[in-house]
Amino acid sequence: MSGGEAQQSGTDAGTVQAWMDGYRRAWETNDVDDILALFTEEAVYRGRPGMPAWRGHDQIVAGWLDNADEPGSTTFAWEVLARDGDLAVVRCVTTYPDGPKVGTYDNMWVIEFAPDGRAAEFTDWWIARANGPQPL
Amino acid sequence: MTDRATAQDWLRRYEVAWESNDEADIRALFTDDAVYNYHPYEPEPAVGIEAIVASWLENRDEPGDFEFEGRVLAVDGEVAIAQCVTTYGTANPPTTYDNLWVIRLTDDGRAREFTEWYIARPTDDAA
Repeated sequence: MSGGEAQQSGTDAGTVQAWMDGYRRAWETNDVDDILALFTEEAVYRGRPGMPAWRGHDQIVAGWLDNADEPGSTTFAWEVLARDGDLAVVRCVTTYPDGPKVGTYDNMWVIEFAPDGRAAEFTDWWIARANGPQPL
Repeated sequence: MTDRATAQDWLRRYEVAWESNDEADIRALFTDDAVYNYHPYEPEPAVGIEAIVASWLENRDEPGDFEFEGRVLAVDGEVAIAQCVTTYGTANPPTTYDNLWVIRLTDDGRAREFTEWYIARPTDDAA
């Protein structure tokens, strides 16, 4: 980045907030435009670390829609744990009160941002709690 | 506030303690009242340095049981996040874990809270 502004310690909070709002919107709508707005054309999406990634818009949309949740099927809470350079690390809790994924999941989202506020890389670390749905 | 160098040094010292299981090495990593979470949602964390040392030694790995590669992913305020890959090559079947560690560091470079996230790779891919 050029310009005379003092360098920030990381991706700014507003960028992360807007992206998280956008992700949640896409999660609920499963609308292709909502999904694509989140990611750069060449983005890498890992639904779990150590697993094959979806690469690029076509794979991300296809993978997303294959795994789509119905609107209203989750409750979701999040907070930013760290912003450092292009990275944001976001601690989340997702609960499915019923349905095939019933339970509570702890998530850590590692998001690498492009300068335009879209994600160039996204990894969802998720771990199911052992004892079923839990309060947030 | 912590910084990247402090976090990297902590990670290096953790690896030393993991290999040595030396009590002084373990103690040097944590504050007296530290909390050690084995999972992100942990009903039974090890609380306090005595409990952490006891739990560490009870669950110890031996040198050569594992290979470890870790790096500091992000540092912000007191929080450092490390991403690691651990392979237990002699286990049956050999298993590789992706690890994400959330470390809350005090100004003296010790952890007051440590939370481990680990996810096993499918064993077919780990061979």
